[in-house]
Amino acid sequence: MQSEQPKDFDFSRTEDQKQPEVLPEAAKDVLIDKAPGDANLENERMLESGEEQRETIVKQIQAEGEAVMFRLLQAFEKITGREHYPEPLRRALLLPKDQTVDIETYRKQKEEDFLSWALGSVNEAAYGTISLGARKAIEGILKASAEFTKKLAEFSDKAAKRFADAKTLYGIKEKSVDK
Amino acid sequence: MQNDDLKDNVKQILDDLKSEGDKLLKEFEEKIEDHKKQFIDELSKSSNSQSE
Repeated sequence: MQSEQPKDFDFSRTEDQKQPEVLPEAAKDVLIDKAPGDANLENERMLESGEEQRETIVKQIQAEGEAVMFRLLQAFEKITGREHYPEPLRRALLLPKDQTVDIETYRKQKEEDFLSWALGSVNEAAYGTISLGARKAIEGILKASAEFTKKLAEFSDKAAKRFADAKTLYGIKEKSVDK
Repeated sequence: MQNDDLKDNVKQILDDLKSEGDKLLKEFEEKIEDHKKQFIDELSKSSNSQSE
């Protein structure tokens, strides 16, 4: 609601109303936080970039873990020979008898996490006709892989938490929790 | 808190993650290699016992 002003009211500031030379501390904080292109914005960008790099690093390590499993499957193929390749494994890979192992083919044929799929394939092979000792070796592979996945997730979560703590410390609000 | 401090902080978080990840991967590779050898040895044993 507008209050009535006298027609001859002087809207210009009087001397004592002009901008004070020294801002109160609280007002300073508000002005600094809201100023575009200031250090706060730069900090936010830096943390966002760090988060992106965290995801990239985790993906790289995960991909290298997948490559380890892939090489394992290749080794199995090489050792057993294509003709004697364990049939359950071949079936799981949808691998024709004259086709060699190809990671891209795997990924296209199996639209799921490669590592989980590879483990499932190895597991299926292991519970076919092989000996108890070989089965134990496969179980060791499964365990090692599960630990790898679990620990990588833990390291990733730990780094994410450190970024979240840094955001809190710098007074930066989370934009989304989807990442 | 200075901007440089945050820069160092971000770098440290990423360095730690990379270091932990590399170590984890190395251990994983070693374990898989051990189990692979074990698996192959077992296959050889089975193969030999079948041929005998």
